Amino acid sequence: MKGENKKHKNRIEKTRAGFWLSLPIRRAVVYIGLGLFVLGAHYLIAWANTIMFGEVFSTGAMFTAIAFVPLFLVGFYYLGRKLRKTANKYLFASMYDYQKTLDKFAEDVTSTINLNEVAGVTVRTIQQTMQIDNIGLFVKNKHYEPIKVFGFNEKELTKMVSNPRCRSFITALRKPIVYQELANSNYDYQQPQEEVEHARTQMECLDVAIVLPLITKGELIACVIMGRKISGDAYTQEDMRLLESLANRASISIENARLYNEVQGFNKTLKGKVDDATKRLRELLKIKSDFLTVASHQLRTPTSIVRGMLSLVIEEKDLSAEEREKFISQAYEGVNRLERIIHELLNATELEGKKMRLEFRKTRVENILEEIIHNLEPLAEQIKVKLNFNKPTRPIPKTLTDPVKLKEAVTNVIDNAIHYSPEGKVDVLVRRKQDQIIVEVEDTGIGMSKADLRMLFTKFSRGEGILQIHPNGSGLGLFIAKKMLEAMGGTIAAESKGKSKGSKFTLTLPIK
Amino acid sequence: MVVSKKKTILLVEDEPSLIAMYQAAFRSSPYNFLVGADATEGFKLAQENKIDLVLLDVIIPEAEGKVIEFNKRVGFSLLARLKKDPKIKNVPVVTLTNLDSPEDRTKASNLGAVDYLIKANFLPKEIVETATKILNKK
Repeated sequence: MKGENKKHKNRIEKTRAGFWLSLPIRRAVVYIGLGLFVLGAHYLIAWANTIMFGEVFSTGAMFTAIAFVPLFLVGFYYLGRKLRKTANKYLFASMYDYQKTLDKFAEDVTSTINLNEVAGVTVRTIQQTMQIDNIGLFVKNKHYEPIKVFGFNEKELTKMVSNPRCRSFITALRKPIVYQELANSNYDYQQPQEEVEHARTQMECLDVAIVLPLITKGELIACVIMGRKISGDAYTQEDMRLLESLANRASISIENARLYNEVQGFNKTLKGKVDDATKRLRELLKIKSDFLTVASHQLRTPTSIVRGMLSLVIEEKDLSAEEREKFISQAYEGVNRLERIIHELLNATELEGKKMRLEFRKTRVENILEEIIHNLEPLAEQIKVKLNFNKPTRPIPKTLTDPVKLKEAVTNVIDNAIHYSPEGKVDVLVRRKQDQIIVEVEDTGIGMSKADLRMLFTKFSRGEGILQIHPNGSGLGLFIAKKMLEAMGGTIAAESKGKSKGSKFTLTLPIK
Repeated sequence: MVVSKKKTILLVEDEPSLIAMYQAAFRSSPYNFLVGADATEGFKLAQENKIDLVLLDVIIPEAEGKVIEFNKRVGFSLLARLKKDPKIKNVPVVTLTNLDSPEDRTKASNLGAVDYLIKANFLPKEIVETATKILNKK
């Protein structure tokens, strides 16, 4: 916020007045403190000697004094440290140990591959050594993303960094940008003057003192934005050398952490895709396996009849002539059934994706329906189903369609209805509605649940209705019917009020 | 009333042609041959008669007039019921079906069937031979 920056500025202004004094003052504090310590130690030894030996400078006294030396040295060392720390803390001097800082940083930053932690270590180290409040670390993905921001207004800082002019300035330069150098314009950046000016005003606006680029393998991967030191001191040459060393080490770690994150992301996506594909494969395998079970069972049943019947006719000696005839005709029926099932199976597999060959002829639909009803009467009688055909009150015009395929499709639908309505009834009617011919097949059979309806016309349906085929069918009749009707420009739909509540199939055919 | 020494075989099968076929095949065998066309009838016959062997189809309707539901494998539930009934549980049951998958074979075996025969692979007279072998073992 602008207000906060103003406050910060005022603080700097105040200490600026005495800033040229602060370094000597800090040094003075340490030396005076140490001096007082030495003096105090001297008086302590003198007093101890007087007590023990009666005087200060005897030989015995001197030797005893030497015993104090180690104690003195330890005290001197620790006091010096304490004073320096205090001077740093309260008088904001940054008298750090260059090498130790670098070593510790290297150790900390390589101990983790977590981007957040690496950013945290980097930012904290710079904050502590440079004694600054405002700092932000941005990692470059497609844009500059803030990872850690303290003190600065994150939104405004992000805006500044993402500004394309600033971005290109930072990228082009690849060296730390120090506001004071920009302000003094005593440095040739080898950039157009207005870009330098623009950068300077941007930095002044948000009170940015340094923009530190992190470069690895010649690529700019991140940057650290630093505000001014709390003490108001300028950044020294030594500071800049340390910052550049830190930047070098940090950029490698940040790049590693970023790459690690990327790989983690890829892995997760890949795993997700593999899981989906595996799930789908398992489903398909189950569908295939179910289908094979049904298909093989349906093929085996008529096969067992044919084989069995004929073997009896051939080998059984005490068969009556009547029985012999009956068995032969049942074997014949079995072969026919086998042929029908094979036909449906092949049809269904062939219909997958291929264009159906249709032979269009002008056809009267009621005639076809009459034929179908006539053909299915014996079956209806066998299953004790009442099969009704409601002839249309007015003649329906002929239409251009494939009569053979139409007959097969409608037969499948009515056949289905019969088989699923044992001891019930099936009503078939045909009527004309504008430019469509509508055939309705309604039964009082076992009906269908919502789940069944959804899956009804699929080749391999899953759900409670699956494999609820009637003994003579392959289970593919409705699938084939749908494909055929659609190829002729028609539609087929099913509805049911629920289980045991019957079903109604509605077929439409355009009048052409 | 003289108790017949003849052993009795119960066939549970719904396909009429197959029923006629097996009846003709077992005619010349020394056994009584009973037929149940659905699970309900099959169980009733098993309870009311002394059965020595059951030939059990797996894809059968629950009761007359009901639709066959493939995935229900009604024959297996009938097998379980037979094995639970104290009177019938020691009667050997042969699965006689056209289903052929490892899962079905395992299920039949776990429920206590003594054999698993594929109808399409066996001629009627071969079924008679197998039945004879099992009944003679007792």
